[in-house]
Amino acid sequence: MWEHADAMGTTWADGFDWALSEARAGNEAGFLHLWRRLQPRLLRFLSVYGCEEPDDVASETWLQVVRDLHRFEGGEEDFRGWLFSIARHRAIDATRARIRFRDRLARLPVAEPDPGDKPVELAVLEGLSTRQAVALVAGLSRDQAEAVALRVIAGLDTPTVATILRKSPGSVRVALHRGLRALAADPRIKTLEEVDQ
Amino acid sequence: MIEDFPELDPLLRALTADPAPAELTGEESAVAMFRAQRAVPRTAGRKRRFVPSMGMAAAAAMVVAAALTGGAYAAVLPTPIQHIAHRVLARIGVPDARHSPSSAGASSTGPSSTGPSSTGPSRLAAANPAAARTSGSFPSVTRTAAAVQNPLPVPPIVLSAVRTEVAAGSSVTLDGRLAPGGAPMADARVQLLELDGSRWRPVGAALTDGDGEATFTVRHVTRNTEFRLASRVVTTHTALSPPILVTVLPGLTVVISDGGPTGSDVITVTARSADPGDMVILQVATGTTWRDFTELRLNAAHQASFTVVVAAGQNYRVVLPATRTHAGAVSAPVQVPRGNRESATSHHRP
Repeated sequence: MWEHADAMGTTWADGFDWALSEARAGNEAGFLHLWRRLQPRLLRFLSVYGCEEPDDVASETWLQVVRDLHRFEGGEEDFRGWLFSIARHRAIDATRARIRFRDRLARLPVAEPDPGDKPVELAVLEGLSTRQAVALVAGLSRDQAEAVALRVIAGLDTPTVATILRKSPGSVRVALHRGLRALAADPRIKTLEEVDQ
Repeated sequence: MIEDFPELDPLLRALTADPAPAELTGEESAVAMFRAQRAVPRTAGRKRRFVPSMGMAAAAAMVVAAALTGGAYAAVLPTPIQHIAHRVLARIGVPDARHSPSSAGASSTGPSSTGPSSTGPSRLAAANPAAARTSGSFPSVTRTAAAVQNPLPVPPIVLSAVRTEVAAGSSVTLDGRLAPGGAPMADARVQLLELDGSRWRPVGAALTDGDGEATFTVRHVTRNTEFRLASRVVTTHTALSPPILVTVLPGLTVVISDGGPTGSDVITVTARSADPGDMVILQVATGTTWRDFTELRLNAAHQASFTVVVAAGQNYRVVLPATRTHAGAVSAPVQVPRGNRESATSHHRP
């Protein structure tokens, strides 16, 4: 059983406080530590939002973080909440020109598993690539995709997600549950599950 | 809730998988951006009380914009930032990243070996290439004065340290990287230089490994020291890294002893790694704040003794201000126990 996303905090906490303190003091090593830990998740999060150039949006996000870092106060959870909140705003800015968020998400390429291409056992062992997984989440409705992305990819707790989305924790839980249920019902996921059994 | 969907384990594992190399390709640009931001004078934040927040934000934005625009015009910003600048400022002629000149330095012409690595003075050791590959997870320059003054472009030779503040007498590990044009150069001789007065003198040398990296360990660091790397293999001229300052954190020992029949007490501070003549300040706790009580200079034995009438239960501490040779230090509070005026000791170890 995969461990709950909340468990990630214990792993991420290793050196985080030191890195944050050093980064605030202007130490590049501290900043780099933060960047390396969070940039991959940030890119995945932005991909869920359908950013055409997630690297650019991530750069804009980090630029704002560095610019305002001296005014930031809080710990690891606060920092991640702050970072992904900024990223969300930058992503919304970047995608504002689109007619409909859902339309864009629907066009994201999702590589369909093709059991005919390789042995079933090999397909199961390889599992989903991160890109495929991100694309599956991006295929959810906006509310559900945001809830899953912030909860799972960003590793934030429900109250923090609710604060970022300006919704009640209950609404976030509902969106998250519906999103997970939709993913579980996805035929591509079900195919993997059946093979796994 | 997530546990209710065990069939999603593969999906969730993929979403939280370890970083792929492609996800960390913007590292150098991120560091360059951080470095450039540090170079921007920052006057906001602490003065929020005196400046309306909107005005402060606007001022900060203008400063950042000015700094970035200058770099953007020169097309020397990292590619993603240059691209952003182009998108925002294209109307006033800022070029896109693809029009930017290539990074400084030509691409590597192949490895060049100049013989086995060697070490300088006994307090310095250069690690072998294998060790260099596994040490130092942060290939960046820390607290670099030169980088602040001239942050871009990223130099082809870089010296960094995971820790630039070390306890007096301990060792510091310095990681060097030689990558002209972004391509790591293996088997190249790099020389570690130390600032001695106003002159840079070599203190050791090593050959880079397959990743263009070399690691130096400088032992028994007792004074603030600036280091930099030099290499002659990049061009016909010597390539120099920005300097890196290693700061020494001195230790303090404070002892309160009975001053004898006069009823006074003696607070003795010892700072072995500080210099004779350095100032030490005795502070007394008043409520939640510390106030300067008196000050002395360290004698030849690196000690100073304050003779005071110490009230039982009163907290004292000693401050050693930073000097050119060491960082500042503050002792742990010391207190004369009520009903027992024999002695109390405080040790501060950085």
